[in-house]
Amino acid sequence: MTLPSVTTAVSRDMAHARQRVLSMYRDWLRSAPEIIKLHDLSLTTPMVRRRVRLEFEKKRQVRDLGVIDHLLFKGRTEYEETMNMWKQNAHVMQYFNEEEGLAIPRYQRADGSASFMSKFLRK
Amino acid sequence: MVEVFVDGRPVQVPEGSAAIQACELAGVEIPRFCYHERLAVAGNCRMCLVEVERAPKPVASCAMPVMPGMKIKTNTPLVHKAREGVMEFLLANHPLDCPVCDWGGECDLQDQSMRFGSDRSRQHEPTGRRAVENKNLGPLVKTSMNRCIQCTRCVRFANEVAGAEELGTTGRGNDMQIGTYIEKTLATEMSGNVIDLCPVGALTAKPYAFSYRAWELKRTESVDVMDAVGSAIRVDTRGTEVMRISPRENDDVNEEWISDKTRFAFDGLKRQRLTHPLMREGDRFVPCTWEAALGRVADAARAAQPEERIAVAGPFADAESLVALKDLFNRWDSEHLFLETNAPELVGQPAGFADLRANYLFNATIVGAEQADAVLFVGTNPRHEAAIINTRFRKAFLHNRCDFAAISPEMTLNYDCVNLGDSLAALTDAKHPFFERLRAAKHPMIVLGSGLLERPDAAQHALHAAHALAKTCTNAAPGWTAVNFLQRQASAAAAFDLGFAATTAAAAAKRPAAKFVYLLGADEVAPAALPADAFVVYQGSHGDAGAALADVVLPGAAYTEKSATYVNTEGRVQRVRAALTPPLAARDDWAILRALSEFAGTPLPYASVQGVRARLAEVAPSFAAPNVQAAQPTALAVAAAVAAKAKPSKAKAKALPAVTLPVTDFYLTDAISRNSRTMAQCSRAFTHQIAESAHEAHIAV
Amino acid sequence: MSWKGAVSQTLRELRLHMCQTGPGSAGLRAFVQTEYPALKAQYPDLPVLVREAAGVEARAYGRFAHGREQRLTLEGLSQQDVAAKLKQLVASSA
Repeated sequence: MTLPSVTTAVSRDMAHARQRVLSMYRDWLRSAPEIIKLHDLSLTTPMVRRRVRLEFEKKRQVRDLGVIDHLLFKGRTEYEETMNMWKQNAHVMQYFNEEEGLAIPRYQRADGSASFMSKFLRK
Repeated sequence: MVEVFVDGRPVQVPEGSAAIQACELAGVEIPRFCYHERLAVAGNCRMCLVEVERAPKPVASCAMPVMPGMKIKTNTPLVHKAREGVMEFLLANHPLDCPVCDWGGECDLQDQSMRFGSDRSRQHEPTGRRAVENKNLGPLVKTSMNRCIQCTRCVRFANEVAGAEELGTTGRGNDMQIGTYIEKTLATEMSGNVIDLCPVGALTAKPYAFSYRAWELKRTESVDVMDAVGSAIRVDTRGTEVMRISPRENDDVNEEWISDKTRFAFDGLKRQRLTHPLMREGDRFVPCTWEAALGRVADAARAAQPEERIAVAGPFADAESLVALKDLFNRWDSEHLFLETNAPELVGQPAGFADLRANYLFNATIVGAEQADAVLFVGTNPRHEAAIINTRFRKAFLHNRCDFAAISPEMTLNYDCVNLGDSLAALTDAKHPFFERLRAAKHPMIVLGSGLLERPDAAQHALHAAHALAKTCTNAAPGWTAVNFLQRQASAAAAFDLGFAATTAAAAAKRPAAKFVYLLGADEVAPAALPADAFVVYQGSHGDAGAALADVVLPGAAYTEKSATYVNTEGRVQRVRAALTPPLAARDDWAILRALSEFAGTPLPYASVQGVRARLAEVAPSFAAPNVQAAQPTALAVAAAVAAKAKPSKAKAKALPAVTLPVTDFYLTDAISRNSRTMAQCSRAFTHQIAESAHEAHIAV
Repeated sequence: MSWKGAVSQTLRELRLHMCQTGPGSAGLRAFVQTEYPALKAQYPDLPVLVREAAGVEARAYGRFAHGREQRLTLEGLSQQDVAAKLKQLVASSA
């Protein structure tokens, strides 16, 4: 079932914005197992949740309400695209390029070609 | 050979064949409903009518034996009118169910009415078509008897091939009904084949009713691994799901039949799947990355001494992963590898058992079983352990007047079988009158069961006694092998071929307590046989008893998700093909072992499937020649010589424990069938004979 | 022929591949028929895998400790030559 779209809202004040941000954070965390299942990812739920947290942490210091609204809009767009399968595996995996747990770059050969191990981990 | 003329063209046919077979050889398609090559001729559908010169009426070609010089005409106006007329009669009482019938798209009636029937109907109002009550044949076969055209293929199959004589016809003419009449279910392990045989949608599959249409399925040819027969199957998938499993024709193995477990256990592939590597923390499993899991396993392996590392292979281990595991362990200087057939206590094999192929294979071949005229079963129930081979024995019973006897607990087979008690002394004594029959037989067979391997001394004794007995069968045809071993697990023959299961009982008894245990899909290992402080790794596709014992769980692929090699009980090497990809983070089994070898610092020399298969041929040359069953004359001669030297004695036999049967419930034997809802229903209905509730029994059309 | 003391401590497995009917494997087939019982009686726990397949050349593989393998071709040799070569193989500790 496609996720319903939400009307773009405007935050009344910081408290309202905080509420909206936390609600979106919870949506992301709750759907981590679903994302793995939908996109057939080789990741674990804790890894997905850590990555989501990292994204939110990057914007922790933002105080401008307009910017926060814009980020909420972008976040919701990403969420819909991920859950409705408008994104594909490759797009979702872009978030995990430097992920330590995947370790694919570490096992590639010196000339960048794939070794058995890098193919095994990538699948 | 006899010459007949079909539509003017001469064609040579074997004498005694039917006119319909002559037409097939000539390349002409004759429509038929009741005729089937593997069943007796009935001749009641009348769809195969052809015109024969100088015959007053059109002739049912399935029932007409060919005579030299016969002129058969299949394209004349008379034949066309006959076909249209027969089709009109069949459709007159056939309900208009196509939109809701499961068989739509693969229905013989649909196809033949389009091709051979009239283009218009003469029925102008739906004046009361015949209505017939649906019968309850069990949780597997759904009946919609309104659609039945009374071709009696199901009745002939059940009576001849499956040995289930409860299915029959009652009444005659318009009132004829197919069923069991006394409200019995069709309790045979081959019951699913009537679904394929029925030309219309009267008998369909209950577990996956209404779930697909035939044209949206992708077909993959593969081989079954639920038992050691290696039946040829076709896996039908839609997207990422297996929707059904159908048989393929293989005259040498399974003809056209598959057992119910093969056909219906696949819904266990969707439940309790291992999808991510797991590490145990206390009493919980936590998902982790492949790197972390493999690193942990490698560390644990390094911490144990060579003698303290053991591996156990389960029923679905393919040859590629067996050879990878064996090579890995050998590089670690560890030699203790076991098969689950020796579980649950991990006792090892009888000395020299795995050396000679003739010891552990079904030497007479599956096709050869049809020719037997006296068979002795020792510790095996072929109906439960190899249902397809059982149909061959039934054929021998019907056509060859074969006599059967068994040294085992009481068991019900679908042919007459004398029970000689459950002591191996009966085998050594050979005093019962049945043994006279065995000695006088032209094609005697002694079939030893894999259950004997739970006690290596019993297996050794039985093998030697069987060879001694075979030696006294002086009337046997030249080139015929009397001693056979029936495997019940798909991985067993490959494991023996590769020398995987070569640890003898004596060596196993001397080994120290295990500190590192690698379970390759093995779920039947008794927890008591593994020390409490051992580090256990489980690699498999389902989270069953084995995974519950593990410290690290590595998710592997099931048989529908990998391209792998299996060897059946007669030594035939066959390939399983991937119809799907393994779920989420699961990987190919041999690839997991190859990755582990890199983490352990002892990388295996092959990194591709071709490399592994080359290694397989290096270890056992039969892997280079798939789909062929190779005789083992040297091994047979040596096995007989070794047995002759051993001289099995009656005193020793008396000291051995009673023979037991390894399979108690046909429907719940391994991880996949235990996780299948359909198999659970079958177990309730057939093994425990608990009647279905009224709701389950009569699903409305 | 006595096999007493013939097998080294490091031999873990001996594999013998042969063709069922080909003339090149005749020597190996004869060797297996005559010597296998004696060898096994002396070393019952040593796996001696006898594998026949159509059209395969006669060869032997010895697997020693740590997975090291040695391969010998026995195609076209007589039974005595086969025996001599195999005795050499099983005595080595490669």
